[in-house]
Amino acid sequence: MMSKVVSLSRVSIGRGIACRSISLSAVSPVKKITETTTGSTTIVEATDVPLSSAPKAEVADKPHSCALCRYPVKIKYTDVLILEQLMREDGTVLPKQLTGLCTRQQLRLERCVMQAHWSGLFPDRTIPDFDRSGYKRFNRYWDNDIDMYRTQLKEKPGIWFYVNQYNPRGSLFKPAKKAESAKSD
Amino acid sequence: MATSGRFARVQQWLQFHRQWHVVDATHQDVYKLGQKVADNLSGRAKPIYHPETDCGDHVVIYNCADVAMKAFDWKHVRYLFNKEYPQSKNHIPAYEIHEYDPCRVMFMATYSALGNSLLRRTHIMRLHLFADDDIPERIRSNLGKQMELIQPVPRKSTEYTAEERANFPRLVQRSERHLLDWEKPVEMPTYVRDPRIKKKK
Repeated sequence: MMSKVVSLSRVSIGRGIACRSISLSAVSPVKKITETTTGSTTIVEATDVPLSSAPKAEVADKPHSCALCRYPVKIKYTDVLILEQLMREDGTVLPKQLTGLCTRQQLRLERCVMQAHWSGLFPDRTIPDFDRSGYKRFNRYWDNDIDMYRTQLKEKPGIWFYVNQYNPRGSLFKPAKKAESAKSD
Repeated sequence: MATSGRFARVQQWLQFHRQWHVVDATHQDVYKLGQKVADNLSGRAKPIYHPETDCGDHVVIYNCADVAMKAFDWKHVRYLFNKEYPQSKNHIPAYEIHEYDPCRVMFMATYSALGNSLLRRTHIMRLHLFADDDIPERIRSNLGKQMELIQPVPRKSTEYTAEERANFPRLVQRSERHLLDWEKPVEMPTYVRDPRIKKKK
């Protein structure tokens, strides 16, 4: 019978510096659970994870607790690199408890992530059966995160006059170009 | 500017020369692009504009099938085709027209933007629309100027290089007690319908 020895987290604030993992470089604030088996004992502990060497964003003199409220710029659906920091690998958004954002920014983030998914800006983070039927196949853009709630119908006069000189529907019957180029490559 | 001399008539021809513009419609708003194209077709973009001068240019738009609309306008914008006979009112959403003919919506946007005038038919004959980037040789040989894009094309997450990712600052600072395992994908519970509840038909 294997006995599991669970050691307390190596970094507990009360214990002092001796118990911390010794790393003279900046102490990475993020932990990860790791299991190490030696013989009949398994140690489950939280080890440090070195964060990417990305530069830390500059914070103003009086920082807000919300990571997005600090900056006077509204987040948009095109800010893919910012949205990725607050998303999971499967394309879902982290909850408010983990992002640490205020309600307003959290909802805005969720709306922007939805818009980015609909625009196809996350091709490696979607499910294979993402709904792209009908009008969803065509390109769309948003000026604002609230634009997705504007549901007024707009009527335009239909124009009977048309000049179809270059066979405009011909592209619908052409063989798929991507398949051809993939075969040639 | 020569008003007399041997070069004067050549300058006159150069001033009223008909330019061929080309623009890629990918991720450009239909109506904004239509307005800009209409200004070029009618000649309003020129300081020498006058409706009777016939100073309009040719415009070639390619990748019309990839043109964009704002938010959900593909299903909210409906075109009313009415023959003024009984039962001949048809509200067709823009995406249905686009599915059938990829160039029609761009054509209608430009035609409306030209305004209701007798010159509209002349100007619209100088518009050349292509659903993909396959432009015939006789038109490609005429092309002179590339029009500026209305909107920037959004970049996908796969189009960013690793270098750009590494240089991008981290806006989110995690607390010290944060575990990366909390950010793992969570399996969504599937909704199981209760077989006892039957839908009334």
